[in-house]
Amino acid sequence: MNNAKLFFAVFLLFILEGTLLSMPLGDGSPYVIHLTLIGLMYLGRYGKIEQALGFGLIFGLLFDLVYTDIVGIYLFALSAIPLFSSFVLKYVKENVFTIAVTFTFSALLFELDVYFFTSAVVGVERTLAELATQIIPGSLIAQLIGVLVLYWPMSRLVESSLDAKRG
Amino acid sequence: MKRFLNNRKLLITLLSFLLLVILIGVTLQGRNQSHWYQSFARDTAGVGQRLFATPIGWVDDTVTSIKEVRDVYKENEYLKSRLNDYADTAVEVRDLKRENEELKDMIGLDGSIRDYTLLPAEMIGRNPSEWHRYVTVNIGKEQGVKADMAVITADGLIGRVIQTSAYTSLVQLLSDTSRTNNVSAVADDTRGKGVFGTIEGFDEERKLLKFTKIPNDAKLKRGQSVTTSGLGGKYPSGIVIGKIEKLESDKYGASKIAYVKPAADFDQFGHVFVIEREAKEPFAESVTGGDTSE
Repeated sequence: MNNAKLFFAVFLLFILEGTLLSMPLGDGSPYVIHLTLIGLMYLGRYGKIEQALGFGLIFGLLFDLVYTDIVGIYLFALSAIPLFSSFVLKYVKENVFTIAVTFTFSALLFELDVYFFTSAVVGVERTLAELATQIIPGSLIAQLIGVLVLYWPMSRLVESSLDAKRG
Repeated sequence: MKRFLNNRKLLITLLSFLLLVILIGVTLQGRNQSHWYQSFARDTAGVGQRLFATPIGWVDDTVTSIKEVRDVYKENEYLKSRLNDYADTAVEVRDLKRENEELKDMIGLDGSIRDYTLLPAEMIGRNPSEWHRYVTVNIGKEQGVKADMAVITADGLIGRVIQTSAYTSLVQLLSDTSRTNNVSAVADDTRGKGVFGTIEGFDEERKLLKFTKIPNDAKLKRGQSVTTSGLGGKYPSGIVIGKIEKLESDKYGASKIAYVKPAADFDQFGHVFVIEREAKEPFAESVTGGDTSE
């Protein structure tokens, strides 16, 4: 039941990422908050790491199938990056600031990972310099906002479902 | 070797990477075909996407309407001033159409690469990444959508269908910078002669499409319209792509590149039309697989 609740929460983030945040109203920003990734990182930090890996594989595969025509790029990124962030947070004293910095840095790795895979597999016109100057700064601010907005609801949700499991 | 085989974590990591590469390779081969698992995932997620996309669409339409109200008066004045020109043009078009039909009857030609039917659709999702400019629309195979059909908004061409499932379709936008994304296009030069080239690539900074492979002797100028040529065999001809903004030589000086301001907005649209070309693609039955681009 608790697994189902967490699955539904991440699925909701997955749908919101591809609809509400990606279909700009008025003059919307081109930078999309990677809600699914952020949700999975919170799951890795406050829940079980195996669960985050499993959910990462499921939602990575779903992301590839629904939003792209190649399977593998997001499957790898959405399962590896939450593992990385939870590994880093094991060695860092935890507070909102360190979580925000670690998750935002992990989101940067996510962008780079998807960029390198996509350019290697299908080719993209943008250079690494263009990525660093045109996309990364705006995207990092967007991810930081996403991390802070989801901090309270996601950490509470994951911790409460873990408590319920322990009885 | 024994020590290496005993290191389970390393072995699992290496095997996972190998599996990943194989997976990417396998799906890359059949990119233009929609597999059952892709269709299933897309149709299932499509139910959730519709739940959110519909209210977002309503809000978007309202915001756009409010914005447009400000320009209605100016637009009305301008349109009134153009009404006399319109009446003349309408008569001319009617005569030309009739003449065209008569000539086609005389040589027994059935259909043209200009003819198409429109299938209305709504966007229900968009790929959130910068590297895949794909959107999902709410019609699929059941409504007659097939891969490689052109997709337009009221303003002009925005992309093509790359994969279809039963109730949804994945559309690659013209702004997607993948190497296989190209469209055969034409612009009339200053002497009224058609100049053919290819729309390939998108300048992200200036938000302009690249119209390449233009012969050096072509006399094009800023403000001229670029439309689909219909020569790729998949899109009908005459669909508006945009207007030339800037002309320059390519880096080898072998041909010219025109930068085209797209007529359609690739970021803000909700309602689209999928176009079914009436004229059949030449050699369609003998061609299998290969490049899916126009």
